[in-house]
Amino acid sequence: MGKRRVAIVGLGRTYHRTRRPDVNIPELCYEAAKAALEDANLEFKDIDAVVVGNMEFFENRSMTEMWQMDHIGGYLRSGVHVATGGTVGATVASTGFEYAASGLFNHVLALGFEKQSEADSRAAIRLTGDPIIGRSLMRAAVGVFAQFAFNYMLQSGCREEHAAMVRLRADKNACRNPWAHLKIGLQSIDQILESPYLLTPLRYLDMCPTSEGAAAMIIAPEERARKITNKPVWVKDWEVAHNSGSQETYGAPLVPTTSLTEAATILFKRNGITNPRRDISVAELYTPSTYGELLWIESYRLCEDGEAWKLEEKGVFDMEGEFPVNPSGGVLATNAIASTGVLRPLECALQLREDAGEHQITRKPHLAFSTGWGGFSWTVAHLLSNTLD
Amino acid sequence: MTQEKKKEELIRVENRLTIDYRFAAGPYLAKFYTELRDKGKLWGVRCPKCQSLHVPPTIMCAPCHVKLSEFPQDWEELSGKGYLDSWYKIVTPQMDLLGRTEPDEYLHCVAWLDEGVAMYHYLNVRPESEEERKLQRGLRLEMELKPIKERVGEKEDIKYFNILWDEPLKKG
Repeated sequence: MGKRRVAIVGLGRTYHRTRRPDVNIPELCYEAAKAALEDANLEFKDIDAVVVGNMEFFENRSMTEMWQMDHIGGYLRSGVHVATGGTVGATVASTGFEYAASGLFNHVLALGFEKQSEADSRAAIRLTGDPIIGRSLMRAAVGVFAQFAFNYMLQSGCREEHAAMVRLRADKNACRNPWAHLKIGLQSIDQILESPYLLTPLRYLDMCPTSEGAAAMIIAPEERARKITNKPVWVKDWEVAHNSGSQETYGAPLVPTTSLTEAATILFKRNGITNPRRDISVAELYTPSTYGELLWIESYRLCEDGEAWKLEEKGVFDMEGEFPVNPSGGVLATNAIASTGVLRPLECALQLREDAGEHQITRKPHLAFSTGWGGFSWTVAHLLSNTLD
Repeated sequence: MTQEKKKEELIRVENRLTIDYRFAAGPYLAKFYTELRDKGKLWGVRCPKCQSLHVPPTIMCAPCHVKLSEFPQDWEELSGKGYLDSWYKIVTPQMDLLGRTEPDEYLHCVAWLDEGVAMYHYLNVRPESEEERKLQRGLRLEMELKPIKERVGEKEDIKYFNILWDEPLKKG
């Protein structure tokens, strides 16, 4: 993709927590930027462009890059602020790839952060709704995922226990990831089936937490990447698809999965992937809900329709399984919105470098698939590799 | 409070922002809402190229890039009837777009209207009721509007969807 091949040469993130009262936003971002630079053995002066992701109004601010640009190496540098809903971190990554592939920049810092305890992100999410059509009915993210859950159960035969298995897998993985937020220590699906309902059929534990944290990557074009690190993670390709911004239109089902399928299909075809679970070693999917994860594994064509819950039952997606999904614990364990989307390719990069420590997958990694999703509905999908072939 | 070494004070700055806003509906939505308010009619506009019906009407069919006509050309009145697709009970109250967090009196639903469009709205079924237990996909629905003097020109001029229990289920 693009004229120059690019690689992730450094990565860093903060611990993700419910609250970080000890730092303000610039200081939080500084931690992640510094960690990524140290990982790449670079300094702030080496950064020549900054891509910052953060959702406007989630911290009661607009033009949110203004507060921390100076503190993350952006002073007198090129840069852009990205805000694409839940997708934002994935768009930060793909924008970073595009900057590095342009031939104009050598070291691009791509950083996403969210400090959600500082304002009311639920209220801010409601501001994303169409201002004139049915605002009082909209229940934002939770309502959308309730629809996915309802429809998935009816069309696939999936039961509540299968959604609980997704949460159990996420929690077990998160407990092995020091950087993850929610580590409950669940032992069985019965504990999950006791958690109260939000909107039927979704329970509390079927949805992600709200977290605070930041994640950053340094992206460089090929000739620089080889000088910086002996473990570059190559960005093989990426694709962006977007459909309906409006909830009720074109006679379509509300919140369609079209963009997910479109992005994945194009990406796989362009890269000769004919058997995704064989050709791809690991996936970090942006999935803020358990039922959503099962449905979207199918939407991304990683398995046939109606099959995902059966594969979950068999442990195919476990860390030690044939096709590990979200070995980091995923969005279900950690969701600082703009950081989350950056964490997906970041965690893939860790797996490809075989640097994930306790949450390293058993399967030998070669090719990784990371995604972001948000709004109604952007999809950004990336393919990363530890070899250039 | 026991003797302990002084902790650094972590200051948090608090405020509350109230922002007034007023959105223009534009010619398509203004016509849609005034027809709903004054005449109790629900309209959609059909794309002349792909034939999809846009409810509520918008200026452009996004997949076709075709500019849609203003009223009355290509506008079609909807019957307000359809079938129950899915339903949701709000067990833990969720904040709505007006900033209110209150328990919902009724369930929410997605209705597939006869004209082939989906609409998300209230369902005239109360949580934990006998009727809730009888819900199934395919039940016949009919829209009910608020009385004319309560209608103001918004989506909630539609009160809810009623279930026509005696009518046959939709097949398939």
